[in-house]
Amino acid sequence: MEKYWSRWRFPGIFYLAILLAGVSCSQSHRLAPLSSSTIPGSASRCAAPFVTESWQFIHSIEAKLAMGGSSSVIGVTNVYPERKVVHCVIMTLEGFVLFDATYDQEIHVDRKVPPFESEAFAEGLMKDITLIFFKPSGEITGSAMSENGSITCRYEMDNETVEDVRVHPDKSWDIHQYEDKHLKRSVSTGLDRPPGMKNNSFIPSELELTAYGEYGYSLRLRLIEARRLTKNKHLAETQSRRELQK
Amino acid sequence: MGSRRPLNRLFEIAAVCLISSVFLGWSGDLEKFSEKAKTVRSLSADFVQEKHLRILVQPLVSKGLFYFNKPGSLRWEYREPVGSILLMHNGEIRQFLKGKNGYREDNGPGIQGMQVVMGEISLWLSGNFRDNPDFEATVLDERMIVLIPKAPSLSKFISKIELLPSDRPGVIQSVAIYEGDDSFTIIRFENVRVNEDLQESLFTKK
Repeated sequence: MEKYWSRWRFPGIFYLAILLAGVSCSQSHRLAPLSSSTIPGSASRCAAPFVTESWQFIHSIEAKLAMGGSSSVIGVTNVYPERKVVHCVIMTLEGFVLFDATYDQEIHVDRKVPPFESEAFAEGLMKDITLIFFKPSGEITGSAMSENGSITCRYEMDNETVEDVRVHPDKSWDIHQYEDKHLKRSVSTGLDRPPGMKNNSFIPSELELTAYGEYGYSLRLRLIEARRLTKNKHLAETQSRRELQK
Repeated sequence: MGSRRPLNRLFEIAAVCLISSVFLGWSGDLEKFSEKAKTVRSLSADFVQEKHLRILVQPLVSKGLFYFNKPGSLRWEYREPVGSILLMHNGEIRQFLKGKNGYREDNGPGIQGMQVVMGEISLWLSGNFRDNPDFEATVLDERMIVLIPKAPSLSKFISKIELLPSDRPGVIQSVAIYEGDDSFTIIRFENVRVNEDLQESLFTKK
């Protein structure tokens, strides 16, 4: 019976956890030069993909691994952009919670089921979520407009990280994140928006996050539900977490 | 058994609870369950699953269909919000997930846990609650069966399971699986059919 538990025979979820824990840099995707001038209005257009209020998103997440195989889970993500706070739960389709953590200046993990117990996994997950939902923390150091009207803004952070945010005229968008001038992650969306949310660029029906490199992976997120959160929800969560910590 | 990964054990136990719970006939007496279970050849039902979590504004509701044929054929199918089908037949277990281009086979954690479920199901179907190595079964107020994990390694993931039988013999109304105080799953069975003839293809084709 023990043979059935071999990670080599059923690698999906184990690889998912391991690979999300550490992503190596790509050797082939290098940061391209961008004009240091700033196009008027670019800052507001490039901010469109990101949340400005607190939201709850529920996605089905399909993980495709560079070495083959795939696995699916459900992710619940509460984002509070005012303080850049994230609360994230990953569970199986059957509803069992695999991982429950909050990022509020630091990561606090409430629940972690092996193989999701590593600190590196939690850090990597929060980086993915931050990249998708929050406007980059750095300053815009350049922008460009393509012939088809797509606008790209380059944000440079203090830690050798650069993020290019590109917003297309049809309101689809993509993000490319570089570290040491090498592409590390990208996020892209399609055109579809959920019913009643056509004007919300930051709520696409589908998202795809790709991590590059030898141990790369791809996460396809399909939106199940999106709800705006009240301030009380955040306070209730914070209070509940403090009580749990006592 | 002791060396199994906790995640695998979690799914194994969950699957066993979900499957076996539908078989119970309720008379307030735990010992009579085994007799009831022996009369069941097949089961099918609709189910509504509610996931309650501290983080959720509202419970996450999933709906699906359930089929079981003795001795060990199962189809556990979610129709929404994410389509997935778990099939068990002749000791072979497969899981399929619905995507844009139809169903594809999945290598997720559910399939890992289900590989060893069948042996456990046999134990439960024989009504051996008292002998179950994983749970201590008690009856609460003559209306609910409460299962408490015996092993600390299991109780880290499931604090208790509550089975609520219906008035109809052989049918259970709901099962509640508690992971913690603010995380639990309730599955309500509806339109339960007992001992209908089920096509083998239900358990072999997505």
